[in-house]
Amino acid sequence: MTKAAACHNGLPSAYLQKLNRQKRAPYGFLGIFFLLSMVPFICRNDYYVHVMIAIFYTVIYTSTYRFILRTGQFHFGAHAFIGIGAYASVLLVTRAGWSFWAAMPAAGIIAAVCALIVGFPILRLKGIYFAIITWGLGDTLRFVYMRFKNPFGGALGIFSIPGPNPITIPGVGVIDFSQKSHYYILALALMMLTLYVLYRLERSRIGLVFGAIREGDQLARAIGINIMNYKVLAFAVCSGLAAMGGSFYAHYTYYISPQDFTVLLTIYLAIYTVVGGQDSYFGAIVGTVVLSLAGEIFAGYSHYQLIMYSTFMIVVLLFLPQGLVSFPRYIARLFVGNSANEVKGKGNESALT
Amino acid sequence: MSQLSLKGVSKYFGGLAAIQNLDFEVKEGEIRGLIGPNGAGKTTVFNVITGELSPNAGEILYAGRLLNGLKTHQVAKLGIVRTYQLVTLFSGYSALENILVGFHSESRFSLLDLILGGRRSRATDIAQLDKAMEILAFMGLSAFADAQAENLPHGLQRKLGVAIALAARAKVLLLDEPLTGMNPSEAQDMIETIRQIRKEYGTTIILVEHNLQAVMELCEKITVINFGQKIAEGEPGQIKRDEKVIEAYIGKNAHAT
Amino acid sequence: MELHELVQNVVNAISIGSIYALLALGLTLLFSIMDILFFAHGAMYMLGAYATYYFCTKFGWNYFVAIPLVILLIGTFGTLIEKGLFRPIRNDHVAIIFLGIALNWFLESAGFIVFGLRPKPVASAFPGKLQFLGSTISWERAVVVIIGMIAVFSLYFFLMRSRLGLGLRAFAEDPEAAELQGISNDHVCSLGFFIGCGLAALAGLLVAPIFIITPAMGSHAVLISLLVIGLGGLGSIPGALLSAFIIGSIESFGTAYLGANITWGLIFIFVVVFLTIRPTGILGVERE
Ligand SMILES: Nc1ncnc2c1ncn2[C@@H]1O[C@H](COP(=O)(O)OP(=O)(O)OP(=O)(O)O)[C@@H](O)[C@H]1O
Ligand SMILES: [Mg+2]
Repeated sequence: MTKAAACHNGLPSAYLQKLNRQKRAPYGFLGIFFLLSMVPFICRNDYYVHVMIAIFYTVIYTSTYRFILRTGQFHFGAHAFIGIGAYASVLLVTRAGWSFWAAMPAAGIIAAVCALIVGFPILRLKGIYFAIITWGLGDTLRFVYMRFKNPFGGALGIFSIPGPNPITIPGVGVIDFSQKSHYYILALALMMLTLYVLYRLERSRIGLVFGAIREGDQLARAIGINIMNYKVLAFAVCSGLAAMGGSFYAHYTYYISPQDFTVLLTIYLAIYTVVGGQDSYFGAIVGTVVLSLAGEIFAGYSHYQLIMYSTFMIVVLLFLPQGLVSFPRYIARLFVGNSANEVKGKGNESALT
Repeated sequence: MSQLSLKGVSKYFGGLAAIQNLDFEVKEGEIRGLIGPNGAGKTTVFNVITGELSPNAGEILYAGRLLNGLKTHQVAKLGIVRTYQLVTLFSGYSALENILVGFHSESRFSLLDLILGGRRSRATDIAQLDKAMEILAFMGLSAFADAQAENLPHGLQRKLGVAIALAARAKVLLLDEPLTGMNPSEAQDMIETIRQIRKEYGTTIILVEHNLQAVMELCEKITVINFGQKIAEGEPGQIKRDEKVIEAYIGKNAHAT
Repeated sequence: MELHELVQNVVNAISIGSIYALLALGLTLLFSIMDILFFAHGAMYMLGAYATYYFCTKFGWNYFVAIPLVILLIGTFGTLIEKGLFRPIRNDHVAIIFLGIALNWFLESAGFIVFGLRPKPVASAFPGKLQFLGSTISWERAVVVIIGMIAVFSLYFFLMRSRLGLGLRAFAEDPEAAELQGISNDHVCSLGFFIGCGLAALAGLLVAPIFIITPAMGSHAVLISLLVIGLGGLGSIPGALLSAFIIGSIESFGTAYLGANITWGLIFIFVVVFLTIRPTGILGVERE
């Protein structure tokens, strides 16, 4: 009998359970994908489908944003990389004649490479400096887009962006993106892919290291972990994924302008993340879904919407520091009394694994 | 041939000389004691070796290679790993996970493989689990694999700290007061473990410890520092009789010497 | 470049620099005292400008009467915010930043709803121009510089000479030691917020007759202030002053010769590159 087998009968059952969960996770993700993919065929209201699509690509932005935040970097330039993704993919399609299916991953890679290049010098910077620089970076790009009409379309942006090229899926038929439901499936697939990658980054061996860096960076260094490398890796992967979301956005709305990628975008992401609960993997998702839906009430009245969002954020920060995901626990504590749940308070992480 | 050597190393904090012109050499596979009264500069010696502090003067050589200027994680990659005087663990993790973090640099992973979580990645998970359980067993911690590190009793936390360093493939292990806060039987157990580590893994060990009895028992050679300067070096028997050492320790641990 | 153009731009640079200096001073003061970045600073600036509009244009009061009132009003508002919102989570620096962001956007959106979308005019309190080395300078801009300087110097003397100021500085150096000496944490924070928000309001008051007042002006201002204090070195008052005038100069000359968009791009690039090379800013010290 191998030692591994001995372990299976033996001790670290909690850890083995974790490994097993990880093994099953892909099926879970696929299952959710298929479940959600039925929605537009059941509910044929284009408006609802559109809201779902917007939620999907926003979840891509928010959850990647959250992951960077969790590496201890006060990221304020998510809009920069989303913008890079959108512009790169649009230009590759309209100027270089690429297919969308090549341009979207390429846009992701371009953004990831940009993140790598700026990452090494700026990730050394602490807290607020990092915030200032990433914010500055985003706005610098915005000025670049505005200044150079060719090829960025100037302040007015780029119009009539073509949708994704039609594809044939064996057994399903041709998907030509003539209907909202086609975009829905694409956005859903992208979101599930992103969430899966983030799940692995958080829960696999590498996630263990990310967590360890958070738990104690001194010890992490002392056992040879190059913290910078991990931060840059997270920064690049997450920026690349967010950029693919940006690419989708461009080809879904057919129109992008520098005004789509202002710091306000990052601020929305920050609000979603904090309101949802930044400690939890699900926080970004919950925050995005709840606030997007709540925001629909004020659709078209952006000031009221922002008032609602910021009120949400203030209330959560003051009264529910672990975010909406901790709300059930908060309620439970009200009824059961605090002692029972105190232990879980710290490791949101473990509670959800 | 010495494996690790400090040549004329000094470290100042403002006007205070925490280490002053310190020379000292350690042979491969040796267990070396580094002792001195409180504030003598022992921890500072570890800090400059691991690059957590940069020395103001002097050279630190490891296997013929200059360590000055390297970052802590680079020094650790070369095989010099330390533990801390105050127990330092990944406290929210289970004991097993603490060990697994130590393996971070093994299995030059392919990122894609890791992210997709395919069969190869899972095989690595299992292989690492085996190795981690081996280390836990070696340290007598098997029964606590799933226990959260911060909930372990103090003595076991200290052991776990050493275990993490082993997982990180320490060739030179710097132990900062590993016996502090232990009762006599735990201490004896730890002493035995340190011997075993050297025997099993051939690890060089530098031991900073106030329990002089234990140091005398474990170490082939002892270096004594006071006010950042070396005042004596030699075999335990010699050190016990050394005038300067007795003087430095008078009123404190005089009875133990 | 003609001499009078040069003079014009220099005067412009100094007046813009003075505004940025006022904005940045409050922000950097709060940072050095409490180690926090107060993102709603911009909103205070915006409220200062609107308060001026109401006092001067709507109620028709004298500009000089408005000055102390606006500072007092917004400063008090700042201390209330500190007491009610910030104090409960004072030790959580990340949460504090998010709270500031939320508050900023709350006040800005509320501003749009309450004050309306249309920019508000404030009549100049100092009409007329003066001739200087062949160039024409509006009195307003000169007044900005003068009042700005007065404010900076009073702050400086307050910090360096007065007992309260000494307390503030002691607290910024070492909060624990200061508390042991009987300097109350709560009072220092309240005072810090009062001064910080008061300075922002003063900046808003000074620009009210010159710039266009809209609720969105705050967010723009807070971004600039961040750039300024980042470039100057977080927590460093001389650094903030210096970098305010550097950025003011780039803006003034850049806008005149290259256009506003490029200039802002240049400023961002300049700050980004500078901080990458020297991560502590011009006069910042390595904090741990
Ligand atoms: N980071 C630091 N900054 C300033 N002084 C320091 C620092 N670290 C250590 N010192 C001083 O250097 C001297 C040596 O300290 P060190 O921690 O190396 O002593 P030690 O021999 O490990 O003592 P102990 O047995 O109490 O652990 C002490 O006087 C200490 O106060
Ligand atoms: Mg020590």
